[in-house]
Parts: sequence; C-alpha cells; structure tokens
Amino acid sequence: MYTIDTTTIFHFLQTMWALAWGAMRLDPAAFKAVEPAGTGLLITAIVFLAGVSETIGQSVVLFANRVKPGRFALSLLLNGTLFIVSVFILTGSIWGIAKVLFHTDVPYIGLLREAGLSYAPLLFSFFVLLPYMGIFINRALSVWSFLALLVALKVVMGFVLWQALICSIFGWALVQVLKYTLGRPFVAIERWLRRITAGVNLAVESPDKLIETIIEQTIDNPKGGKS
Amino acid sequence: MIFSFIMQLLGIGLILILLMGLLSPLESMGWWAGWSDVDKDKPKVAGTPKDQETQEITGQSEAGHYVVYLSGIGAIAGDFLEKEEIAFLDKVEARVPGTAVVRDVFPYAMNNKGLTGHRTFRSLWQWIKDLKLKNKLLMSNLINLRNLFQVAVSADRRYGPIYNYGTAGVILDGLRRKGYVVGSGIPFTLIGYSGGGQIAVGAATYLGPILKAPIQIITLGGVMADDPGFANVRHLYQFHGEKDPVQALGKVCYAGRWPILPHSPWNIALAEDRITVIDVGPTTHNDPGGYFLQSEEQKAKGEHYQDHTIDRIVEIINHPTEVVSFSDEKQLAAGA
Repeated sequence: MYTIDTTTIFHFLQTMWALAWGAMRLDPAAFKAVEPAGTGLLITAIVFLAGVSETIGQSVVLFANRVKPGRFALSLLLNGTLFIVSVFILTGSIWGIAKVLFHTDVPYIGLLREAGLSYAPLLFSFFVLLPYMGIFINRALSVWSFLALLVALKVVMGFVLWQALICSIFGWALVQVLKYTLGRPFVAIERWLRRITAGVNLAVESPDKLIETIIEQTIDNPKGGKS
Repeated sequence: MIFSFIMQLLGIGLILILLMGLLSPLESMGWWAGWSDVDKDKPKVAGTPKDQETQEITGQSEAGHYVVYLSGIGAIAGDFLEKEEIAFLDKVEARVPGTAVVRDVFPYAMNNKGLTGHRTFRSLWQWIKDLKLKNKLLMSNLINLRNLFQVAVSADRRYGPIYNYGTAGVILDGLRRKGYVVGSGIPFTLIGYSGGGQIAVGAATYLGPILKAPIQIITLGGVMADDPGFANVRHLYQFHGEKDPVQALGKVCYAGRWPILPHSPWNIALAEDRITVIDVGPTTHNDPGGYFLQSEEQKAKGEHYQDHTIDRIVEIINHPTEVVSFSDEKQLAAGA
C-alpha cells in the first residue's frame, strides 16, 4: 500500500523513496499508485536523480576530458534534465507501438508516469563508479530497469508479458532508428548542450581513444599536450 | 543481542568498504582533470626540465640496466619498505653490478605521493603506520584495502588509461633519479610484488612508447588483469608460490585471462611465449614463509626457497634482453 503524501519536503522524499523502492522490488502496486494525477513531480524527481546518479557513475568521461568542477556539477544537472526528456521520447515510442500493434487506448500521459517510475533502479547508477564491479553493475541496473518497465506496461496497459516485451523492445528500437534518421538534429543539439555545459569538447569517449590521445599529445609531441 | 550487534558492525564495515571503493578512482581522475593540488607537479613524461632535455638528446644513462621495484598493496610510501623487502633488494643489488635499482617508487598514487604525505587522511595513515611499526597489524588492513582498490583502478579499462599514465610518470621519475636517459634505449626491469605486478604491466602501456627500450617484468605473487600494457612487455616472469592463493585472483577475476578469449592482451602474450611461470616451491603470499623471508619452519627444514628465488631473479636481471630458462619452469601454453 502506497500513500502519496507530498505536503512537506520530508513527506515528499519519504513517498518518493517508497515508490522507488516499490519499483525496484517490481511491485505492481507501486506502479498502480502513480496512476492518479498529482504524482508527476515525484516521478520527475526520481528520473532526474537517476540521471544525476548515472552521470556520477559514468563520470570518467567528464574527468577524461578534464571538465572543471563547476562544469562537472552543471553536467550532472544537465543529464538529469536530459533523462526527463528521454522518458518522454521512449514513452512516446512505446505508446505509439502499443497503439498500432495492440490498439490500446491508454492516454500517453498515463503511461508516462509508470514508465518514469521504471527508471528507479538507475538511482543506484553511482555504484558504476566502483572499479572492476562497476561495469557489471551498469549492466545489471539496465536489466533491472528494463524489468521494471515490463511491469509498468503490464500494469498500465493490462498487457501480458509477451506484449510488454514486444512494445518495449520495438519502442527502444524505434528510438534508435530515430536517433540516426529524423532525430539527428536533436542528437546534435544534445551533444552541443553537453559540450557547452562541460565547457570542453568531449572528444575522449573510450579508454582506447584516451590511451591514443595521451600517447599522441604527450609522447609523440613532447612540446605540446599535457606538461 | 550480540548477533544483532555483530550484524550492525558488519553492515557498517560493508558500507565503509563500498565508500572506499566508490572514492578510489577519484584521486587519479581528479589528478588528471587538474582538480587536485598534485596537479601542480604532474609528471613531465616527455622531457623537461630544459637541462635534462638536452641531456636526453645527447647523453648516456649512468647504468647499463635499470630495475624498478614496485611493492605490494601493503605499501605506505615510496620511502618505506618492509625490512624483508629491503633485505631482498640489497641481496639482489649486490649481485647485479652495473645495474641501478630504483626502490623508492610508491605505485599506488600519482606523483609518488605516499599515504603519509600531504593528504586529507594523512594523520590516519600515519597512525596506522606507527601501529604497523609496533607490529600491531589489524589496522594495516585498511592500507591493504585502499591499495587493493587502486590495483582495481589500474586494471579497470575505464580508469586504467589515466591511472597507468600517472604511475608510468612516477616510474619514469624514479628511473631519472638514478640517471636513466630517455631515448638511450637502455633496457629495464620492473619487479612487482603482488598488486605491483598489475601496476608494472599497466605502466608498460606508456613506458614502451616513451622509452623505446626493452621492458621485462618480474612478478612475485603478481596479481594482474589482461592489461593492454602486455603488448609492450618483452617478457614476463611470473614467480608463484604453491601456497599462494592470492596470485591466482587475476586469473579468476579477469575474463581476458580466461582461455575462451584468445585475442586478449594476456592470451596474445601467452601465444607468443612471452610469459614464463616459475614455481618457487611451497611459499605463501605473505611473509614469513613468503617470497622474501624464510619462516621458522622452513629454517628448521633447511628450505631456502627465497634464496633460490633471488638466484633466479639475478639471472634474469643479468640477461635483460634474453629469455632466461630454468629447468623447473612452466612455459604457459596458450589456454593455460
């Protein structure tokens, strides 16, 4: 049983944690609890914090590109915001697929809250920072979040498992296709936003690239690069 | 009641370990990003200062071969080695004339900054060091844990490129202190005990292209991942004790060391016969009875595994550009 109480900051945080914990336990009641209007801010907070947590977990990219502390903090906030945008996009894609394939009549906004709650396991993304185990944790959290999305779809759409699977997989695939086609200008805007927020060109994206860059800048070219 | 108290203590311990783990990459990452004070004296990998630069273009190294010793995860600072490690290095150094031995490198931090140097928790580490000197070893597990996480950072493909660049600079500084001239092509040997093995291989990623000299690595109970640095290692001699379960950790924990991934740096080195495993007998990971110090039991039985290890290491160091064979070694076959 989940009581939505947002009267004070303390109650807001308590309710948010209870819902997030319920989503992490894949409890259908948690997803049911966010169906009524008025829970949007709670879900937005969960998604935002998940985005911040993910940036902390993946912060090696920011460090590798020598982002300054202030810009680092701004990048955390930006990723939280972009996470919220990504929920809108993914939900739209899943909602469209569900409508076309299964003729559902659930309103988009109804699905939005449940899909947002499925990001709750990603609140633990900061654990990805851990050396050695971080990479496994990242994958485990992705799977966990995906399972939460399946539960959300079952609850809000009344789907059985295979329908939820199809909608989420096709929904995700559609987002990927859009990224490389119609969505390219938006991807470019996202990169631009990340770059101006970080204050540097985020050129180093992978470890191999970093090794290559270090060798190029500081070894092959002794007068330039880092010294 | 007591059970609940113990569980609470365990819970607090686990949270502290997680916290240490989460913070462990931040020192090297902050150093690289220029966030820390250490940034002021980042390693000048490619040359500088000016007079040294000139020497490095025209000069000669002072010794014919260089050895750098990298201690295990119990290390506190570059200028503090265990008595048995000092004795081991003294014995080796006495038998390798013309070879300079660098023994003041702290492999678990950037810029040779030991735990008792200028740090936030300096007083804590100093207190633990004092306890260690009084042979009260319980708290020194905190040092082991801290440095163990640094080994994991070095082995992590995300953080390794930065961490290993930092330690390559520290090793290079150590070599220069002993008169090594970059560009001279003089061969050098890295000796890594325990986690020092991973640090050695990681640093080879950059030491290879910087020094353009043959690199050989000797590990004593070395714990290593499938690091890309293996590509720059001419030969790795892995000494392992029969009673040492720690050295096997790398083999178990890192998938790139499993035979199912034949294209990993480790398995490529194996396939090219660049790895020799040498059984030092029934020794443990830690001393006494480990790689450096004879235990009372070994003394009573007249077993001298540590002396034999030194004999072999001397033999390897005295042949820095060859592959030395021993009658009881095991040349690992690919897939082993």
